[in-house]
Amino acid sequence: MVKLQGLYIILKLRGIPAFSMEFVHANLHPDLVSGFLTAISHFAKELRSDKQKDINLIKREDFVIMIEDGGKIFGALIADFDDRDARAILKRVLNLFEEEFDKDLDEFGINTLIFENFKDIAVKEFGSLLVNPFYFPKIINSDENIPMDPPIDQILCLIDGEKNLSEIAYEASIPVEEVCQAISLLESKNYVEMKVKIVLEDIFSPTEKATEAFSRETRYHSKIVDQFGDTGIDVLYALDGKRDLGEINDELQIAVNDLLKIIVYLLEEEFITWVELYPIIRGISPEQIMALTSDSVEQALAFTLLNMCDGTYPLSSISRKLELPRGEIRQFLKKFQNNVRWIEKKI
Amino acid sequence: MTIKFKVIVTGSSNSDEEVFLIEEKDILKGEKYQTNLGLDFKLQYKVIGEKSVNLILWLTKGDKHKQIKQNFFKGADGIVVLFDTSTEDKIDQIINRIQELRENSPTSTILLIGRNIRNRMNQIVEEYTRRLIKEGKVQKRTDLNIDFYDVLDEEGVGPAILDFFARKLLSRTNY
Repeated sequence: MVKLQGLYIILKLRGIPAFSMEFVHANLHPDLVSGFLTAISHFAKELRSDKQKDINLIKREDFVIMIEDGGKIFGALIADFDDRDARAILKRVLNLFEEEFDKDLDEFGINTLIFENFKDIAVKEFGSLLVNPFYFPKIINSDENIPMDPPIDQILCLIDGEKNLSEIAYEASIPVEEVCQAISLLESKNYVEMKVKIVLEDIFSPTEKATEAFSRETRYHSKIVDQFGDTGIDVLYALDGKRDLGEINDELQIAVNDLLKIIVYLLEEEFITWVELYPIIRGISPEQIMALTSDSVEQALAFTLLNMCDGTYPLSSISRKLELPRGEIRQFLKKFQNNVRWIEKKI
Repeated sequence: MTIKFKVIVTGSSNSDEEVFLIEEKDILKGEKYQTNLGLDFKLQYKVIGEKSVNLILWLTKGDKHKQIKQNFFKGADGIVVLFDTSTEDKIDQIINRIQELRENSPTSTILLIGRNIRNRMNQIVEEYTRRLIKEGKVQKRTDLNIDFYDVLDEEGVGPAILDFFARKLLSRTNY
C-alpha cells in the first residue's frame, strides 16, 4: 500500500497553493513546494518544444512527487512510490476541487480560508490508501457532531473492536474502499482510532520493497538485521502469502512474541503486506461432498462452505460468519483437494 | 483569513548580462530557499488589520535565461522591479521594461523602485499612457496599477517597501 505524505493543489499559472494537507508530518512549506514545482514545470516547457506535455513525476530514491494536471490547477502528491491508484484519486480530487471552486480560482489574491473545508473531501477520497482494511477501528469520541450520513451510520453500528474494516465491509455489504473512505474521515476528526491486531492466523506477503531487503548488500537488509538479527530476514523469507503465521512459527521455532514484534516492524516499514484469501470451491457434486466424510456435522459444514466459497467472500469473513478459526476452515477445505482454489489478494 | 500573493522580484533589463540587483539586505530578513533554477524563493508574512498576508517572493536574480524566466511572470499578482539605484534610468528604458512585463503579466500590480523615480512618476505615466493609446490598447488615461518608490544612496531597499506593497495588493482583493 502506497504511503502518502502530502497533497498540494496548486494554481497552475501563479504557483500558489490553494489547498495543501500533510498525511504525515513532513515539515515542507506548501508555498515553497508550489513555487518550486511550478518553476520546474515552466522550465520543462521551455526546454522541449512540445508544450502540451507536462512533468508528471519527480523521483528520488526514497520518495516521489506524482503530478497530475487539471484545468486551472495541478496537483502534486508526495508518496513513497508512483502508484496508479493514487494518481487516479488525485485526478478525481482535482476535478472535484475545480467543480467546487472554479470561480474562486480567478480571484486576485488567494484566500486560503475558502478552501479549508475541502480537507474532508480529500481525506475521504484518499481514504482507501490511508486506511488499512485489516486494521480494527475503535470509537473514541461519539459526540453529537459525528457525521451520520449513510454509509457512516451503518459502519458505526458495526464497530465493536472485534471486526476489522474488511469484515465490517462484508457485513454491511459495502465495498471495502467505501468503508475505508468513511473511516478515514472519522479518523481525521478523531471520532475513531485504528488499531493493528495481528493473530497467528494472519497471512502476509513480501512487498516490492522487500525484494531489496533480501540482498545482503542493501541498507534495508542491514536495517532489519540491526533490529532482529538474521531471524528478521528468515521471517521475511518465510512469508510467502500462503502460510499463516502459526505455520511459519512452527517452522522457524521462535517465540510468538518475538515473531509478532518482527511482523509489526515489517508492516510499519512496508516490507510486507496482508494477504486476504478468497476460497473458491468448484466442480464438486453433492454426492461427492457426502462422500468426503461420514460425520453429519462435517457434511453440513461442507455444504455451507460450498455455498460461501464462490470467490466473493474473504476467509476472514467466512470464519467470522461460521464462528470457526480461519486455520480450521483452511484445514477442512483440504478435504476438497483439487476442487478448491485460493485467490490471494494483497492489501 | 490568509491571503496569498505571488510576487516576482526582478531587476531592470537593458542587456542579457547577468545583473544581480537584489541582495540579501534588500529584502526583509528571513530564510531564503535557493533552487539553482536561476530563481530563489522567500516568504514574507504580514498582518494587515485582521488579515494575514503571505507574499511568496520569487527572486529572479537578473536576466540570464530571460526566455525561460518570462513564464515566471505569468499569473503574478505583483511585480517589484528594482532599477539600478546608483544611477537614474532613462524614462524610455523604464517604460520599455514596463511594456515587457505587461506582455506576460497584464493585470499584476507593478512596483518600480529606483533613483529619483517617484519624482518622474507623472512623466512616466503620461508617456506610457501615450504609447498605449497610440498602440490602441487603451482609449484614455486609466489606472495602470503601477506604483513608484524612490531609493536614496544611504537607504537601500527597506522592509517598509514590502509592507507598502502588501497593502497595495490587499486593496485590490474582494476580501
